[in-house]
Amino acid sequence: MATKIIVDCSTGITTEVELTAEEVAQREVDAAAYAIQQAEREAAEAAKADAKLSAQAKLAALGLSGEEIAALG
Amino acid sequence: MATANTFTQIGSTVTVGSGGAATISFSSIPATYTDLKILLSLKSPVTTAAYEVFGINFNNSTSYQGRVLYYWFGTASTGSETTFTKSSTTYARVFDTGINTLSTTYLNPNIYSSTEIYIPNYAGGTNYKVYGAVNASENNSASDGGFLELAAGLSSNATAITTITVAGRDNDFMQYSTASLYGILKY
Repeated sequence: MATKIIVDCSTGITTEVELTAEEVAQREVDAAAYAIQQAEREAAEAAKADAKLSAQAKLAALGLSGEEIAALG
Repeated sequence: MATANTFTQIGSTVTVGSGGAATISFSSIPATYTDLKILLSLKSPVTTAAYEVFGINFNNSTSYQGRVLYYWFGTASTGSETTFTKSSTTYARVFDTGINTLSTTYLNPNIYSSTEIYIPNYAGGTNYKVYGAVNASENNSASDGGFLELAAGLSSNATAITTITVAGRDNDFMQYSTASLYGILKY
């Protein structure tokens, strides 16, 4: 069973107790929420990278050099 | 009575035992300081990924509203930046950041990640809470540099912070992980 460590700053006493059922459930919710958030973050970054590559290709087709495209950032 | 211009440990340093720990909490944090600083040395038992994440929670809240800005440098890319607004009625984490794992692929089986979190004006009862964090989950490798992250954010909750919890995403913190809390009194 997973445990939690608690430092009571008013007494200085540290205790270790098992997670409650509610805390276990919250942990699962957090894990799922983080996975969704991470997937959205990675998808947004991938879309941004794809758009940049597409824009660079179009600029190259217009005759800009690699250095000129890089200078645009 | 706390003294001005001091940096004082609150409670004691937690060192995780052989059984691991899902969370580490500092409760009943006194309101006598100006700012708080948390220092963490953590490790996750995951073996299949270079990095895991852990989260920070204020006041055992099970909801969150706010904004966070991350800038990170990962092993697999030269860097990335994301700004977003977080709002959730179920997600308890104010923010997440990296933690070293037991992955041997990424050369870090013996290295604990280091994180420093600064929370100014934590005891105010009318101000939203801001924070800044620096995290280094390095690999001890010149060619595979690890994961470095800067985070800054705002929690849209004006309640004074009296409890701070550090929680692994879905794995325990390993033995010898440590957490320390400090109070800073500026004046």
